[in-house]
Amino acid sequence: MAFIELENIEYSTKKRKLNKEKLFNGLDLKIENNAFVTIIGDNGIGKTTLSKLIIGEINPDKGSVFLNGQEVKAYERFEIGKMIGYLFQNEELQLFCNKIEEELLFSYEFGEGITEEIHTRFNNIIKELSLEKVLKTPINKLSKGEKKRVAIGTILMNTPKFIILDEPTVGLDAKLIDDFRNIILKIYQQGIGILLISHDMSFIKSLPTKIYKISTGGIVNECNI
Amino acid sequence: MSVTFDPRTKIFSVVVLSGMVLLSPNLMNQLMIMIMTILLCLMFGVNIFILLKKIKKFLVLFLGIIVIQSIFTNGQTDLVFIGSFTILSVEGLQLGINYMLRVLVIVFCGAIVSSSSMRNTMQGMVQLGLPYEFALMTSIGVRFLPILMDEIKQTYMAMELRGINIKKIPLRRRIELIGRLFVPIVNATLVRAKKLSESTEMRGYIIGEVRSSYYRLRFKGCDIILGLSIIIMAFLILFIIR
Repeated sequence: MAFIELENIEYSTKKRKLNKEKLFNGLDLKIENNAFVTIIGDNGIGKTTLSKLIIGEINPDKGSVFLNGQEVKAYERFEIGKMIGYLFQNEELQLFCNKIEEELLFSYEFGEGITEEIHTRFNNIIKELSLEKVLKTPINKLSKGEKKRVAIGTILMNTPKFIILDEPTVGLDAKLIDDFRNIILKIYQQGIGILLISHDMSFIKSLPTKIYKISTGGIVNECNI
Repeated sequence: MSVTFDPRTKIFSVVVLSGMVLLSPNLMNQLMIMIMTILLCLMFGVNIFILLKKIKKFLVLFLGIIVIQSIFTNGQTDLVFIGSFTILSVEGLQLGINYMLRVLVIVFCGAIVSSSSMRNTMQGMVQLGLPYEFALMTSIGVRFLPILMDEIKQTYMAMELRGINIKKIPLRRRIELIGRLFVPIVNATLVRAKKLSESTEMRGYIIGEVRSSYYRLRFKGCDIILGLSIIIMAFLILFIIR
């Protein structure tokens, strides 16, 4: 069974609606459990919009989006968050605390509470993301690459089944992109599905991913680069 | 054939409309001002349906305010009451509708001003004799508000996507949680403000310097006719039809 399924999606932004244009006109896409999928396409073609449809931030004009066999509309946002992690293009918008420890434990502090198991998970994630050295550094003093890692850490704390990465390599240098690639591969090897949205062809080439290209009108085709 | 009005005509109409709505003595007057505002919006090319769609969410708030106004107004004609406690009276309802119309006129006025491009509005303000800094700050403020709102929305969504069921958190903790929202929002706003000030300085905008411009706005016949019509209408509504 597909974990993410978009069925005959029609969607227009407000601006396009005025011009009677459709961003997606019958978009279909199925992403299996534990899959590694990359979405490519020109600027403004609807890559980020597609990810917003998946997490239920926006609703399609027609068609349905299914998550784990159930329509996205049927889920509360926090339930989606437990299944899908989302790394924003601007990761700073998803960091709320000034210390890494507080940040990673944030959802448990305001949710189910911090147990021994959560602490063990926290320690493992810190090691996995090589954040030990900067653990005491205030988040606002971290580099962009480190902030991205912290944001990934907050996602992994929720043990999601799928992670959406929206242009994760923007603003990173070659060394940081290389580190980021290793992190993504580690996550994928743990059985977590990945949906990558990117323009960075050399980065995509180095990953074991299925590539889909979105064209005008939301036509999705598998392709090789 | 579509007519493009001078931004100064729009600023003038907004000043007149806001002044009228504050001075208007009764509900009948305010209704007429509202009709005048809608007519002007149509003339200036504001899409009223999109605007109404945007403020749809606030209509519940307006209704709530009408009820609250009514509760705290000692009316003589009760409409809804429990024993001696009046929930809705005719006078209260009138006051609430008064308030709603005033707010709607102000919102529509905002839409009228932003129907011109940022450059034209700024030029209009400068040619009206307002300080350049004031014109620049106002136009930046108007244009940045939607971006700020979008960031607040994204940050809130990011918080929900952390798997936190905000609805189930006790009120005190919820306030604390909402307080945390401000960390990324204030941070993003400061970063944006810094970048903006750097880029404006790089383009030669220096505070205190007198700026000149080759671009001049010129009133057309339609601006003069509309300006005069606005004055006549305002006079009629405020002093004749009471």
